[in-house]
Amino acid sequence: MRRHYRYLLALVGLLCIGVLAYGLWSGEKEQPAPTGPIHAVGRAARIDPDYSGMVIPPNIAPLDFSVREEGSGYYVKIYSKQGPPIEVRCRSGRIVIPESSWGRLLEANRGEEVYFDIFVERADSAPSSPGAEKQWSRFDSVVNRIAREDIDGFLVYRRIDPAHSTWRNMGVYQRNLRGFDESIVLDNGYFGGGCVNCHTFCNNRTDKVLIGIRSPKYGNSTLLVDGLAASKIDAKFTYTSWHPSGRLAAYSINHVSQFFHTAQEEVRDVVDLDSLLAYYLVETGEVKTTPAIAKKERLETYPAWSPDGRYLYFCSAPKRWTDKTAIPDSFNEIKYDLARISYDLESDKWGEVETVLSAQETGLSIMLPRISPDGRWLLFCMCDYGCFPVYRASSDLYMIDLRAAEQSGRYEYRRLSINSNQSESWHSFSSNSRWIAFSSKRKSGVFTRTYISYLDEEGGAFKPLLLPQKDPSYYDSCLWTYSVPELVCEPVRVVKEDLGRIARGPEKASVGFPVTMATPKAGTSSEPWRSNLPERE
Amino acid sequence: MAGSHGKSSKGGAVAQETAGANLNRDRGAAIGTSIFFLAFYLCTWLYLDLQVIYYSAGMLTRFPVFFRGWPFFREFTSYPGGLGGYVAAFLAQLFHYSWLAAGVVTAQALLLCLCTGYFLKTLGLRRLYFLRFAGAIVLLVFCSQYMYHFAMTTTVCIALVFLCLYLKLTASSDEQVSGPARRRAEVRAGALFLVLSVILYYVAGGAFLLFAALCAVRAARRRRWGMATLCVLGGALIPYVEGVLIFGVCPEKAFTESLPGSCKMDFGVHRGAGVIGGCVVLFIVAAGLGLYRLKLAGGKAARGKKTARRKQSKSHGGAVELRWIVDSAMLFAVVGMVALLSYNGPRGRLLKIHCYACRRMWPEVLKAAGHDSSGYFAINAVNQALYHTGRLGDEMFAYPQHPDALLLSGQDQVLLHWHKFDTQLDLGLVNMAQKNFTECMEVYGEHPLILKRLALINMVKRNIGAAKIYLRALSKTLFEADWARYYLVALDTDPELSTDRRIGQLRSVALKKDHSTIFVPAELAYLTLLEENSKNRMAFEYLMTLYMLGKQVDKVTGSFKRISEFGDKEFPRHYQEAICIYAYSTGKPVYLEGRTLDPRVRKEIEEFSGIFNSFGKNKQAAVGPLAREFGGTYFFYHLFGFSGVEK
Repeated sequence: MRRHYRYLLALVGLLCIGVLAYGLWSGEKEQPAPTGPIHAVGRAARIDPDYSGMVIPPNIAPLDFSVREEGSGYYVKIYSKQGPPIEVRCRSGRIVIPESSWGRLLEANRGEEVYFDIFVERADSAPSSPGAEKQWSRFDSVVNRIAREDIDGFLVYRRIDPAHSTWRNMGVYQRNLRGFDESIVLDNGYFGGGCVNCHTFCNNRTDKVLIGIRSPKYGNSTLLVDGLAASKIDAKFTYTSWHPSGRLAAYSINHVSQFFHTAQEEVRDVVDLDSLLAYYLVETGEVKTTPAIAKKERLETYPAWSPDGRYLYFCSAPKRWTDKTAIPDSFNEIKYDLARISYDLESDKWGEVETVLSAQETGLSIMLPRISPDGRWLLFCMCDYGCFPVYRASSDLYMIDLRAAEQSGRYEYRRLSINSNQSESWHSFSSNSRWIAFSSKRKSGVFTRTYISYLDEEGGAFKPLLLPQKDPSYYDSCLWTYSVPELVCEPVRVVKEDLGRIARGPEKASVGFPVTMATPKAGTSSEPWRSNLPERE
Repeated sequence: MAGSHGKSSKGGAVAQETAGANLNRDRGAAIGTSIFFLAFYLCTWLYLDLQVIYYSAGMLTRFPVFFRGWPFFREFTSYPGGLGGYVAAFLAQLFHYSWLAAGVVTAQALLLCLCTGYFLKTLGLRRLYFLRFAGAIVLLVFCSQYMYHFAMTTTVCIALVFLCLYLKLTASSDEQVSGPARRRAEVRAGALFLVLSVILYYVAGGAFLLFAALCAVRAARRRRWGMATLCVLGGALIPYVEGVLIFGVCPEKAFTESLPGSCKMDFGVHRGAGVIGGCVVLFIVAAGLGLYRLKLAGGKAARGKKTARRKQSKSHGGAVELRWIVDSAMLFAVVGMVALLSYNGPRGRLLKIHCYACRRMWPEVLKAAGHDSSGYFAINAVNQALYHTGRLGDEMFAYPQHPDALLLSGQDQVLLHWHKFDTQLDLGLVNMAQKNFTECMEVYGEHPLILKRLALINMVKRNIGAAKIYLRALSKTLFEADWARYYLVALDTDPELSTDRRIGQLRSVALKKDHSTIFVPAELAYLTLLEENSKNRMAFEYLMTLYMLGKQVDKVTGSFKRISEFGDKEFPRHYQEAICIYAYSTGKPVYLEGRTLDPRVRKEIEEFSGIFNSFGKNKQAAVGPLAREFGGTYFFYHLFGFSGVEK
């Protein structure tokens, strides 16, 4: 018996030695700091992701990056005005910054610049002999500025495949922005497959959350998180916006139809053949609408409350067809205006619709209005046509200064400098209005990634920061698409198991709805394998 | 004393003889086992050709992906059963080569056999020793059915290895029959069980339950009831504590991860499989019992002749030899029957067609399909193979045809057999292929073959950023990495890939003018492709094929003038036949673009008409004789609406 244990012990010992040896062999070997004469390259090093010239949150995870310069040794010194510098040495050019030191450095240097001094060891430029001398080269410092203002601590987003019509594997995830921890809010494995999409928060908090789900097995519904309790509403909310009071949520009902392009860069396209706005009253569980936002001759969508709760902003386009089954020939002429309607919460009374910005004026279709929590900035997308900016490479972010508009009576819009030649969309503000998170396809045209940009007091947007990952080369081969990034101050507290149980459960609050639905009712999908409606990023 | 000495020496001789017999038996069993697994290997390699599983194109769901590197590995470390899944995913990639696939499956079967044998031996159930082959036979059934349950069988193997380890380490505790020594031994065994359980559950997930159950069986057989209770309780509690409380897995998953019934396993791939599997298991049991009875009978007979055999050791050796031969023959008969009964020929054939089509091995596609594969996918692949071998216009009616199978667009939302979307890519319907392959990736995972196609499509479309992402992902796979690295380097040196012939060819045929539609009707697609590039030969041939399949001979004749674009003097036989039908039925002259009608075709139509008229134009009566003579012609298809009737 004892002999057997000795064998077992020896086996475990060997295993440990093996692991240790592998760690030593494969791990980043300790590199000495640059010594001897250092050659100044006279330009900045190529790094990927390009973390340079940005304003970064003081509470962001380390900006791990790869140095794309040939070399056999790499040394990066990260420093600012206060505190000890961080030194990273490696042989591969993969710069992984220690989280705790990074956090301390940023915290101690709010408002200051942070420098990355990059040194690369390479063979002497004159290889006269095979054993040429190695020399350290120093590149110009990469400089970023640390903002004074924090970004909200968590980001909630959808992680899905680039195509998502069969809902094999999708979910809503949350990421702690201080580090790299990602956790599932809810994925479709918890309700037997299906779509889990639009997630909406009230005032950048997670005590009131709405999550839409479409399940061939359990029907279409919306999960409502209220405090630490969750329940299911027997209606599918598409684009949703919480009233700042948390007492109601406005949402759109969209009859979506998908079609394809035979030769464009983006294959997919969608058109809303019909849509309207409605609102859900949390206390009574009622769904209501008002004729002004549910006109038969117009397509209303993308509701967004102003932070004071007095106005509901939304997009609206004329509906020039009667057939709700065929893609209209004029699909590429559909352009949405930006409108708003006043609302009085106490009396539940709606005012008149007023146009904020017309498509006729801009020549573009206006989508996805979002207003900063301080009420000053109205951020939206504009693209060449249609209702779905993430499918349009022409989609860019634009902004209106609402305070200036109030004074001048004119809504002046401007295109932000952070746009690319690919689609920008799905933007959200941080609770202090200083940060925006948005989706962009700028690096590939296919895979949507999350970017964060600083917004100064005058509405100037700074070079966006690709959401950092622990592995600097993560995005190089990442086949996921990240969309609908929503900044929140705290994590979603209701656990995925509970949300899943509620999604699967039979209990759901039914809502009476006074007008014809634009979308099919839950559970009416004729084909359980695939939804009739296309999924949208 | 002398007597006792004489007795003991007699007893020693008997023991020696028994040991010798055991040794002979063990040697015989080893030889039998070796022959069995050699046959198993050859069968799975040469007969079943398991590489088709790698190319299964959605016919086998949940075929795992595998990427090299820590990030991919780390994903598997976050839940119980993940490591087992990782090992299975790695081994599954070896199905890329038939000989390797057979090797992996045989090794797994051997492991199952050895572990089961050891378990039976420690339980003292030598008479049930033949059951050690049960696992291998079940594996053979899976292979013959072309089903994929590798993740499950891998974790079961791991569980059995742990079981053997446990049995080995606690073997001495069984010798303690009573007293504190026995208690100590039991405590040690219990502690060992718990330690191994915790490790095993993390490594193999739900397969741990098998380990716990078999440990409980063993303890019960030894009447160690405390130990048996511990095993049962451990089986119930460890998945809950470790899986649910520590790893945060939902309870359903905690007990079923990597087992049938878990959400990751799909046993509904082939409906008949369960029934056949059940029959096979029954058959194994029946055959086993037969063997057992035979052994008993043999044993009785042997006992009756005990004295005689002792005296005649040669004849004893002969009996052992005979029994060994009978046992082996029975075993091979059982296995042969199992392999035959469970073999799913049609499925294997479809998988082979897909495998060869994926690898653009066109003659092999035609060989695998034969002249009687009438499924849409098979027809689609056959037409593709005929086109690429330059025989579409000459031989297509020698194979079954259907107008709807020519271009499978994905409009029916069936993504199975995703190789069919290669036809779209080859034609120039690049966006449609992209849409379908992207959806395939969503449904079937990041299979290297899908990644490869998406990388290619994005390179054709000059989406360099996206192409590089697909290529970098592909470069982490085991067998497509070289291709990916080649293109990554090529893109760095020339982002346009201007010297790449395949890319250049695909770009030359790719649709350039955008049409917005839900799905493009096939005819419009071909016409648009030809409008943009009149030298798109595949679009031309598919258009002509479409017209022929739709019996639109006027359109065949009308479109024939496009043939002059290709600068050769080819005049495919079926086009001649269609033009003949048009000319004969309308009496109108047809301009043949400088080509001449083959006199044999003219003669054939006259003979065809003659036979048909001789039956008073009765189709039913004429079908037999016409099929015999003209089964592979367009005349036959045009009249009867089906083809693939060989001459």
